[in-house]
Formats: sequence, structure tokens, C-alpha cells
Amino acid sequence: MKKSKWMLGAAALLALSVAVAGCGGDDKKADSGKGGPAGEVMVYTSIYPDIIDTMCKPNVAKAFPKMKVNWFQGGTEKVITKITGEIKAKKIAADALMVADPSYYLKLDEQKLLLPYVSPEAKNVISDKDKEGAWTAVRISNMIIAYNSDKLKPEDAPKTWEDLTDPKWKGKIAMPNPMLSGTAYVAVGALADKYGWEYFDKLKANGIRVEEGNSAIQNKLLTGEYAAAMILEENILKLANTKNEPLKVSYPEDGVVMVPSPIAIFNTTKNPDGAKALVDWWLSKEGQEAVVKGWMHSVRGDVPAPKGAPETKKLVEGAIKVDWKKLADNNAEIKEEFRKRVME
Amino acid sequence: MGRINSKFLVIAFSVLMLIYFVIFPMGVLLYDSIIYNGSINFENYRNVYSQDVNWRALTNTINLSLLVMVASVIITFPLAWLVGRTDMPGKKTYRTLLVSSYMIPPYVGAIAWVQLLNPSVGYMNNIFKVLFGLEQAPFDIYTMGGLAWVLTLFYSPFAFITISRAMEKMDPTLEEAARVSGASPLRTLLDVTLPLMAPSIFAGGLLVFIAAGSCFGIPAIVGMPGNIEVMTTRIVTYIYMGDVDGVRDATALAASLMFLANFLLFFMTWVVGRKDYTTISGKSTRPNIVELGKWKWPAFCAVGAYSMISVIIPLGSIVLTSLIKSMSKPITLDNLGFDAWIPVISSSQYMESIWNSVVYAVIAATIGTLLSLFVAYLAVKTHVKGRSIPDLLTVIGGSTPSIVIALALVVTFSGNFGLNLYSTMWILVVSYLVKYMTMSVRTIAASLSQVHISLEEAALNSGANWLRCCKDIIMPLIAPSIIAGWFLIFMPSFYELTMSLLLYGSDTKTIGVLLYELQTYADTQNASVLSVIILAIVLIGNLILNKLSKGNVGI
Repeated sequence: MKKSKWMLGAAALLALSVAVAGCGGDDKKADSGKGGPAGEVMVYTSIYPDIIDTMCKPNVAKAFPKMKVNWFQGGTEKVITKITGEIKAKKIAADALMVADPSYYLKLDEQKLLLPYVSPEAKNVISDKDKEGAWTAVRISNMIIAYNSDKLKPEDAPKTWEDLTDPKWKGKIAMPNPMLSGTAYVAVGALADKYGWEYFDKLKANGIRVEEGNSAIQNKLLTGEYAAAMILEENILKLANTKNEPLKVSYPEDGVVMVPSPIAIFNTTKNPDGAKALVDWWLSKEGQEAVVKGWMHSVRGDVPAPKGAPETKKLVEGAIKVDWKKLADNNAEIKEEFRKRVME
Repeated sequence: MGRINSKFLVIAFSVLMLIYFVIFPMGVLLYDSIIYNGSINFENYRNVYSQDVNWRALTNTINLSLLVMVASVIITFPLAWLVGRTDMPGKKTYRTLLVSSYMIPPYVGAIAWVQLLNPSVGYMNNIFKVLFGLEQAPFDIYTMGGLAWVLTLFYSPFAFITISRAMEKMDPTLEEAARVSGASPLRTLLDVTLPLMAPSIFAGGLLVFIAAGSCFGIPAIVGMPGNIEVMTTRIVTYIYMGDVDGVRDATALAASLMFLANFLLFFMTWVVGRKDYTTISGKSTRPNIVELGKWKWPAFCAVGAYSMISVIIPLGSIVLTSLIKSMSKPITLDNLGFDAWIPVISSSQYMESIWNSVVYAVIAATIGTLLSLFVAYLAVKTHVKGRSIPDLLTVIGGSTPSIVIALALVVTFSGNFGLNLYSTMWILVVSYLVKYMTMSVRTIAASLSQVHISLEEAALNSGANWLRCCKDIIMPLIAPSIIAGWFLIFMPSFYELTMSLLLYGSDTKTIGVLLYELQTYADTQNASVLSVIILAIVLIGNLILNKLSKGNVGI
């Protein structure tokens, strides 16, 4: 009888774990008094983790000493999935959201989940913003063409999006999968609008490979498996500048696909003042410098572009027009059209 | 009366835990996929199953999973026998080596294989081209064959662990009888050992099938560039639509994976259930070792060659990648160094994440193994009506893609149904249980079905209560399988990525999350470094356990 104690003990351990687990929960206090915003703010973001650790956490802590900011970091699609679950459970834990795909914000706004807020800093934002302030662009990522400069001379590299259909690239080009990557989705929508779906038929005929995401492409450009590829500018700038890798950006003459990723506040927030203060910080010069440190472009006119990149203004002028409303409304159709044409 | 009470109390408690934590979240999602605005609506099922691409993905998944399952069993059964039951030299080293590929996170391993076998610049392809003067690369990883190859190498250890552990505890008297009657060792193996091992072979095969069918990382890395769609890539596509309809479509599609795995389990149980497999009785416990004679060294070489291809080459490629300075330059001494190690080791989160992962994985594995033991006992050793239902239900979690499970847990455990585990470590532990519990249930159930009821009866008749009998009779008899079951939950939980990424909170960052960050935002080299560290930790941990327990505990 005595020896069976440990078995019961094990059962008790199971029971205990349930009890302990039950204590988990979160309290958010929103008392903003003098000396800036206080309480807690939860941000869900797809911005790069090293930027959060080295720039955002220390600077935000300094700017708002009384406020505790929690950062949840993950890829755009993962963060969106988490939010989808939270919306379903009617328990949105995030106060502020900054993921890549702008069309997702239109969807959230349609569901009346966003808190309108026009930041005093918004007047400096030269990129997209919602008139009512439901969302404001906070960083700019560009979809561009990249190539390996050890294997390809600059004059031989593709100069335009249409160059990628040249038979000399047959089987040596790649792009990220729009079903799995929000920025790739924007690029597909924009290019299909500009050149028609036939453009993708030609890419398909030219043997384009569809990869899971930007990081897979970046590696295969390095190893020389691909000669040129559609990829985000920031991936290339980072590798070229910090690791001296022979990767170069070819800014398409027919325009980059510009993705102005927004920041927004959920109207379920218990700490609107804190969340607003955080939006102000992101749009301030200091916040924008963090963006540029992550090799993305600032949305302000007065913050210089990342090292090695052309001026933001110049890119904006030539950028391909994107119909955000269409991307938000026809998500399933656009993805399916792409899949049928390229991935079968 | 007391003994019956303790037995059924413990089992009932386990089943309740299982239902609340493992089955209920999946049920919520499935319910939502059928009920729309308060009425039954199969529109989403009609929608997803009317598209050709989803049928093609389903066919691909079935073909691939069956192929990988059959290949895994065919490869691992002889390996398990050679390692467990013969006098082949170096068998202890081989055992560790053969399960090593199971300790590499699959997505890291898949990248290694892509580097080795891609058609344009794959290392192995280049070597073959030079060796045989070929014009074209002999292998293309971006094909069904390539995908099946990588899946088999990564998931066959499930079968190996399950089969080899059961083999060690088998009663040798039947084999001895065959040998005495003049059968050759090979004949004995095929006619006696193989049929007797059927429950474990089926269990191991099923584990491989479930793992291959519900895995997303490998098909995304290996299959996608070759335009091969499988169920998981389709399901993730629907989830990433980012709205409620997308989730309903994804669940409708995921339901077919659950159905498939359950059907297979049902079928296998039916095949196995018609015979008696009790080979562990009280009379003899030490299996004899088969002498291979002149086959000793050929066997050694064959297993060595397999280990070389399946483990050492991809592992070596990961270690090498971790030491490369620049991926764009050829591998020369100048291009090697510890550059990629420094940011990983000096990262402040790195030790904390490893510690978190160890703790969560140990808790998940321990709770999971205990629950599995009772659930397996209920299914195999009692005559209660509906005894195998809890067992079947664990397969639902196992066969569901991780991202769907994570979503289900967000919906269920954020406080709307009692507990609020959100952003605590417990939601991570629960996610690991949902996904991996079926691994240990299968392994333990297979072994339990080989234990003769007479042993338990003897203990009970001598006055022991059921819990004591469990501890002193049943558990020691199937100890290798219990340990194997524990590891089968521990290992994948330790480096789990998808669910952890959605469910971690600010204080509960795990090694999988860190690995994902390194992979996505830093470099492949950094991710390789972390994989090498993971492997080292597990191997050293295994070694220590082995030494402390004098060879009784370990994989």
C-alpha cells in the first residue's frame, strides 16, 4: 500500500498542474497621470527581433519610464493567425499591432476593431495613412529584384520586372509564396494589376520557383542556386552591409512594389493612452531611426534611407500603384489565381 | 473493492484530463467548422472539397505518408533487430546514431538536404557529377521522391524507437523453439519474430504516417519549390487568409487528416486485434542474442552505410554550415570559423530559452507518459465498453497540423471555457501534449498488448492493489517502451517551433522560437549553430542518463 503512494503522487501532480495553471491571467491597469503614460501595453509586431532588443526596448523604456511595454514578435502571418484566434475568442490581448500587410488593416477596420487615432507626428508621415486615423504607415518595405554580384555583373542583372521573363534566366529565378507571405501577396497583386496575369504565365514558363519565404530565397541567392529573385530589399541590404555578402539590389526601372506597413490600436485596449503614446514614439524620429536600423525605409520625409539604398522619395515616385482595397477584398481570389497559374 | 476503485479512479481522472486538455480544444474548432450562425452548415466542406487542388493535395499526402511509412518499417525493422537482438559489433553506437536524426529539428535537416541535393549547386550532386563525369545532376530534391526521402530519414526513428524497444522485452522461448526445430536464424526472424512484433511494427508505422502527414516544415522547404502541394500546405494557406472563413475552411480540410489517421489506426487495431501477441509472460525475460556468424561484418557495414547516408552526412553538413563564414563562398579553410557561433552564444536569451524548453518538454513528457500509460491500459487491458475511444482521440491531435492546434488552444484557453492559460507556460505544455501524446500512447499500448494478464492477476491475488501492481509489475515489464514514449514526447516538444511561436509569452520564449528568429532574420549559419547545440545537449543528457541508470534509461 505504501509503495503505491508515488503513483497517487503522480496523479496529484497532474491535479496540481491544473490548479496552478488556473492562476494564469493578466491584469492591465490603465492609470495615466502625470509624468507620461503608465500601465502596460502589449504590442504584436513582425519587426525584426534584434531591432526590438537593441533599439525599441531600451528607448521606449527611457521615453516612458512609468509604462511597461511587452513585445510579442513573430512573422506577419503567425501574428495574424494569433490575432484571428483572439478575435474568435473575443479576447484581444494586443493593444497595438504592427505587421507587414496593409490590406489586413483594411479588413480589421471593416470589422470595426481599430481605434481611430491621428498622432501629432502623423503630419510628418509622407507615406500612406488612414484619414480617420484607424492606421498609419510606420515603416516601408520594398519588394525588389536581387542578384548575386559574384555570379552576375551589374549590367547583366535584370533591370525590370519584365526582364525576369527573359529566357536567359530560365530555371534560375525565384519568388516568395504569396499564400504564406503577406509582402509577396502585395507584390503579386500589384504586378498582376500592372502587367496582367499573363506576366505570371511567362514567369511560370520561365521556370520560376516559388519558395516558402524571403529567408529561403536569400540563402539560395548566396549559394548561387538562383541567379536573381524577387525578395524584400531589407534582407539584401542587411546581408550586404553587415556580412559583406555579394548580394545586390536591382531597383526595377518599372517601379518597386512598396509595402507601407501600418501601426494601429485595437479599440479593445484597456490602455488607450499608453498605446497612443507608443504610436507617437514609433512615428517620431527616434522610432523611425529604429526602423531604418532594421534596413527598412522610414515613413517620414526627414529621416534618411538605410545605408546603400536610394532616397525614399525617389522610390515613392516610381513605385507601382497598389490597389489596397482590392487586395483586402479579393484575397482568396488573387491567391487562387496565382496558384493556378504558377504553382500547378 | 479498494483495488477496483483506485484503478478506475486513476484511469477516469486521466481520461478526463485527456478530454479537457487534448480533445476539447480540437472539438471546439471542429464544432465551429460545422455550425455557422447557429445552424448546421457544410458550405465550407463543400467549398474545400470541390477544389481539385485540395484533392490533389490529399492524394499527395496519402501517397507520401504511406510510402514513407512502408519505407520506414522496411528499413527500421532489420535495423532494430540487428541492433537489439544480434551480436553485431558496435550496436550500441549504432543505436544512438540511428535515433540522432530524430534529434535534429526537421526544418533544419530539410535545409541541409536541400543544400546537398538541389539540382543546380547541390554539394552531393556536384560530387556525383565529378565522380561519374555526368552532364546533369543525378538527383533533384524538389520532387515527390526527394520529399519522401527526406521525410523517411527524419521520421523513421519513430518506428525504430518503437520497434527496437519492444523487441528487447520479447519472450525468446518461441524463437528458441523454432531454432531447436531446425529453422535458420533468418527463417526464425521472418516466421516467428516478425509476426510476434506486429503490434509494435504497426504502432511504429502509424507514428511515421501521422508525423509525415501532419508535418508542414519539410514539405514547405522541399516540396514547394517543386510545386508539390500537400494537405498541410493547403491548410496553412487557408489559415493565413487571416479571417474566420479561412479558419473554417482550414478546419474542414484538417478534418480529413484526422479521419485518415483514425481510420488507419482502426484498421491496424482490427488486424492486430484478431491474434494474441502476448510474448511477455512470467517465465523468461532475457531475450537471447542471435549469433550472426559470417554475416557479422557484412551487417556491420550495411548498417554503417545506412547511418552514413541518413545521419552522418546531413549532420556533418549542419555542423559544417555552422562553421562557414560566408554562404556565398566555396568551403575552404579561409571560409571556416566560429563567427556564426558568437552571436548565438552571446545572446542573452539563449540560455534562458534552452532552460525554458527543457522544463516545458520535461513536464509535457512526464504528464504525457503517465496519461498515456493509463489510457493505453484502458484500451488494451480492460473490457470497459468504449475502452479504445480515448486512445483513438489522441490520434486526432497528433494528425492535426500544429498551426491548427495552436489556433484551437488560443480560442479555447483564453478564458471562455474555464481556464485561462493564455501567455503562461501551461498553454505551451498543453500544446505539446495535444500534438505528441499519441506518440507515447501508441508505443506503450503496443508493448502493453504483449504483457500477459496472468502477471497482473498474480500480483493482485497476492494482495497488491492495482497501483502497486502497476508500479511493480506492469511498468518494469514495459520500461523500455515507457522510456521510449517519454522521449518521443520530450524530443519534438524540446525544439517545437510552430505552436511555440504562436503561444509563447514574454517570459516563456522557447528554443524553437529562438531558432525561428535566427533562421528568418539572421542566418542559416546561426540556426545551424543552435541545432548543433541542441543535439549536443540531448546527446550528453542521454549519456548521463545512461551512465546513472547503468544502461537502463536512454534512447
